[in-house]
Amino acid sequence: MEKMDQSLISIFNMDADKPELLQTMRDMAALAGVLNDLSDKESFQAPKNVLRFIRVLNLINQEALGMTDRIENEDTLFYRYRHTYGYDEEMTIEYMKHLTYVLGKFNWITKTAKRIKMRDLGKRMMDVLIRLANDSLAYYMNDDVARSLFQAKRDAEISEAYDDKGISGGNKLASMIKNVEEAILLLTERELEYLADRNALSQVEVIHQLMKELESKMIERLAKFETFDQELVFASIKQRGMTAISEGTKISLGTINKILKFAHLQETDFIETIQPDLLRNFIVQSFDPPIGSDIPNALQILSFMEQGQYEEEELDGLWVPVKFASPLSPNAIDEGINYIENYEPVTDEIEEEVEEDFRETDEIMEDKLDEIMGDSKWQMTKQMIHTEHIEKYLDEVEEAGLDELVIQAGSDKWSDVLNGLIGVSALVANKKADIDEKANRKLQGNMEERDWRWEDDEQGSYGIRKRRK
Amino acid sequence: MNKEAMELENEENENINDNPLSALQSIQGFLTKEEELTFMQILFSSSATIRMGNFGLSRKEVEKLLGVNGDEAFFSFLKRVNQAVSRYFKVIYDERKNQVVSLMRVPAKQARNVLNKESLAILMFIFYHQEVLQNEYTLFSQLINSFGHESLQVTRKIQANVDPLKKIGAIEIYDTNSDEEAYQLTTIGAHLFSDSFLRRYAEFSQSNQLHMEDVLRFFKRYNMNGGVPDDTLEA
Repeated sequence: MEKMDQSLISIFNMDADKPELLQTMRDMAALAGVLNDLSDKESFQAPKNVLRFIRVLNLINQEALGMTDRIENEDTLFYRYRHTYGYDEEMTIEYMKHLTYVLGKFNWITKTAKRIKMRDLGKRMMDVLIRLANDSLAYYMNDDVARSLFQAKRDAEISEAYDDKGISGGNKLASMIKNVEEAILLLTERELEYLADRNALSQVEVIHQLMKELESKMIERLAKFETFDQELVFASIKQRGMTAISEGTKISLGTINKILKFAHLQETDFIETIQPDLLRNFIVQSFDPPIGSDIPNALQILSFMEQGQYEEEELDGLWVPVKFASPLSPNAIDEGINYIENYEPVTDEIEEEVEEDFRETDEIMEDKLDEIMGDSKWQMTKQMIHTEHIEKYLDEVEEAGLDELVIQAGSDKWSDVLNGLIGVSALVANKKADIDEKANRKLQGNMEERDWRWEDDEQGSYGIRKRRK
Repeated sequence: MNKEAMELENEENENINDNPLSALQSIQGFLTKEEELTFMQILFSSSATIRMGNFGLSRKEVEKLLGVNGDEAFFSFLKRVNQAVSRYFKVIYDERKNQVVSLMRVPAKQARNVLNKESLAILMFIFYHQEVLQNEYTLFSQLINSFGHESLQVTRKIQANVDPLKKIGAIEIYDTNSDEEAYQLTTIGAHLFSDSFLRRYAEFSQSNQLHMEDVLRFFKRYNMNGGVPDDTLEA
């Protein structure tokens, strides 16, 4: 940790022409070559073959470490294999010879007449292989959520093992945080499943344990990087990490709390009275309970019901209005099939005809203006005063005396006559009719039956003429 | 119950589960042809997607389909349908809205996809407010006051979660002559929660186990099916 400000040893920061780097890459190529020779031919058999290969490597390695007697030739190796791993039909002398040939070809071992010996390259490469395999094994032995967490923890350890020694472990911190985030996503999705599983407690506890370990590890790792020159880059990652992990611990803790609460509920006595205020509070809380709490929301309660602790409760979720598609008529089906079978996509480009959007302006000549304005005024007047009867009568007779007009168009009742007079004045005012005061038309008879009189009979003799357009 | 009996029962349950709809076969024994057809009509007409908020049939239509008149025949039909199909369906009659609707049972596992937790909590609140406390309607402001402190954009959040309830016909707008929005529980809403769900909900709230009888009495669900013996009742 002494020279933390100096950049880590990393293949990405190395000059591409450096002999060390080239040698490293050559080693990798050898590894690829060995694996290729082993697995390519029968990919179906590959997993087994690789396992055999690694076992053999292990035997050679044990000899190299001085843990077993020296290996004279393929025969020794063959029988030692049988002795250690049991009888294996596929592992023949020929196959063993093939293996040693491949290893020799890529300089992992040297083969002399007297013994088979592992070389340095072989040792390092097989270390890598075995570590890789063991890592994978450990990974696959966890469940989904724990896998990501396991990976995150592994990242932290690798970062610890390498970064602190001045060798880059890759972007392990970022990877660690990413893994935690993924685990939390999964955990959130899975929470309902865990609640529905009667025996999920131990599983969730494992997750929570991992989460807690990770939390301390992450804090520790992030603290180391504080002194780094990449601090700025790490600031956001760090932020993300802390948020994720604290949320993760809360969720896993909340899940545990809920499971415990539910389990505890099974142990309580039966009570007979329900307290309304408790129920009310619970309804409000279940709307959106805080993640770490032991209060389940409505969906989580449904999950608990899946456990079926009470008889039939797993069947008894909710009752909802049924949704059935209405039956299709044979005609509709025919039409549908016909459409699909005979559908021809339009292949020509759609030509758009641009229609000029030109609106003719409504022009009104000056001399017509008055008329049009007058007309609209007239329409408005007509809304207020009922002139229809008078107009109709005038249409018939062209010209009439005032007295005749108001009585014929209405009646000889005072109120109708009044309406009639208002109508006439409206017509005259709007230039629909002319009044002729000298017409001296005759008054209608039956003066006796009227409940009204002209103030001056002369008024009744005015003539009204319909004006022509 | 000894172990053997339990195994026997499990076996029986398994048979039912193997072919759950075989129970529908036996419906012939309970219903006449007309009644069977009417039941199917009710099933189709209850479909939320087809009739947009107008679920089910009116009592008159049902009676017309059955070719009967009067309480006795109508309720006898409902009762027998419910006895025959009670494991999967429930036909309910809403007197106030004059509709006959069928509800389908959704097991706990799938029920999670029906409504989200907020909608369920709101419905539970309205259910409690109207069925237990016997209020005629629930005001929007009452929802805000109860759930409001939980989030910032309360109004929108509550509205967004009330909408699905309206869509499946669990609640409807109630006309109160004031400018405030009010909701009334429909018959669908009143029947939406299963007995077991109510029990679990109540148990969590009380932190104690409860007998089904007491839960049903509290939620005024006793005898709700109009005298149909409820076989989910446990002593």
